[in-house]
Amino acid sequence: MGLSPLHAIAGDKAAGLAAPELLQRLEQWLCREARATQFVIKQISMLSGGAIQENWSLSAEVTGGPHAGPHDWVLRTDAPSAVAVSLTRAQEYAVLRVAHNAGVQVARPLWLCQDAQVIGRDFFIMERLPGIAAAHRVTRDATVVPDGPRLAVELGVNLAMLHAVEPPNVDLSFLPLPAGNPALEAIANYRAYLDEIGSTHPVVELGLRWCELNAPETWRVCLIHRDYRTGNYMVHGGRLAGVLDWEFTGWGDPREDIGWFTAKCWRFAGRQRDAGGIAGSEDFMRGYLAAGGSPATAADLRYWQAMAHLRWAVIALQQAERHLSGRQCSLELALTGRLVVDLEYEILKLIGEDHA
Amino acid sequence: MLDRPDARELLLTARQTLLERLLPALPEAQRYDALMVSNALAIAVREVELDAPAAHRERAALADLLGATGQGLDLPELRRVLGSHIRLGMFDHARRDELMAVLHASVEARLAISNPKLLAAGD
Repeated sequence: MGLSPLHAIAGDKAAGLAAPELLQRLEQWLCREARATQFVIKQISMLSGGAIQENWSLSAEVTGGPHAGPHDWVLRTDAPSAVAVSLTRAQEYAVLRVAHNAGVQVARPLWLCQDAQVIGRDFFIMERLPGIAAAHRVTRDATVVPDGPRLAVELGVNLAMLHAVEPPNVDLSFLPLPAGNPALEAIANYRAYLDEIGSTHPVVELGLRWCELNAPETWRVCLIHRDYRTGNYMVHGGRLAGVLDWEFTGWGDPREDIGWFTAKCWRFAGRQRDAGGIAGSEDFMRGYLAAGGSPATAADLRYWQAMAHLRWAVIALQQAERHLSGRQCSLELALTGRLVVDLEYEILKLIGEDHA
Repeated sequence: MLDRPDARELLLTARQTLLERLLPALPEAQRYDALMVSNALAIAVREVELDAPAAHRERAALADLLGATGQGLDLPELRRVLGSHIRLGMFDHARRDELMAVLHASVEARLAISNPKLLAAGD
């Protein structure tokens, strides 16, 4: 599992896509898809690169057809050394289309390419959302978010629209349904990961045991984002422009997304503001309920926030392991390993309230 | 210590050089990497200062908690055994307060090395 980079790696290095013969094939393909008479890529540069995906910004001039005119789009593709741990690009494209059709604010997906003759890997094209996503600015800079409660309401509304999508869905038949209780299933997965990397973290074990003993009944399974948090949405003019990073989407308990969004580990500079560091969770829940979401009790929030910290701890341990094993030497991955104790601190606080 | 400046002094000086001389000259795109290097050096300094006594205390506390099972084990082994006992439910009721106290002490000692600001925030 990976998480979207907290920062954009700037640069327009001529790596990969900018090679002339490759650009030409891409232009020809886009010209056909856009039903244009001429298609010129005026500029292409990498927006952010991770171990798993690459996003390229693409400015184009289209002549003829329904898309005639200038466009700013994003091309999303696998990194050359991608490991299959999340959705494929084709699956992510299908998820984006379903979310977009459900009224969720996302970058509109345009075309998917699975022809290896074009750029050598799968990719899709989507509209480029305006604004910024950088979590530290979103949670600190009042010029970016002048009205935090309003943005939190919009995020709540948006999440409820996503959670209105229920299985079965023919376009999402590749997503597995939880076999039993989604929380217990997740706990079993986390334990398997921990055993695989030989983890020595008793606090994480204690958190998982607490979540196992306190697992709630799931009354409803729906489409959940699984990385719905500050840093993964674009803010433009103080308003929500759209939600990013759909590679972990699946069927699950809607409260998992609410716990993830409100967990302390995703509040950045706004640790006291429990809706993603931008407002109070009552603002977020007001939007969520108004758009048809189901209520979450204080106990629900506490449980799913504990699960959020546990999931992030497991991911952080895996990321550190990528560095420690020598597969990918990276200071960012190495430091992520030292973040685990921050999460353990929050886990102890969340599960220790029983004794108060 | 065999020689001066020792590891801690070298790390402190390296970090100061990074922040005062290199960082101002770096382009914006490299700032994030430089700040990560600075953070890594700061953690290493605190680890040199605090790690040995913290590991010693935690090892003693875990050995005490595990009793005969923990005899002769090193710290990673003690942690792994404790983790498996927790998973099996052996601390669901009995000795839970004792377990919580040991884990709190471990987390606070490790936070003092990796992120003392979080401890200071106290929220």
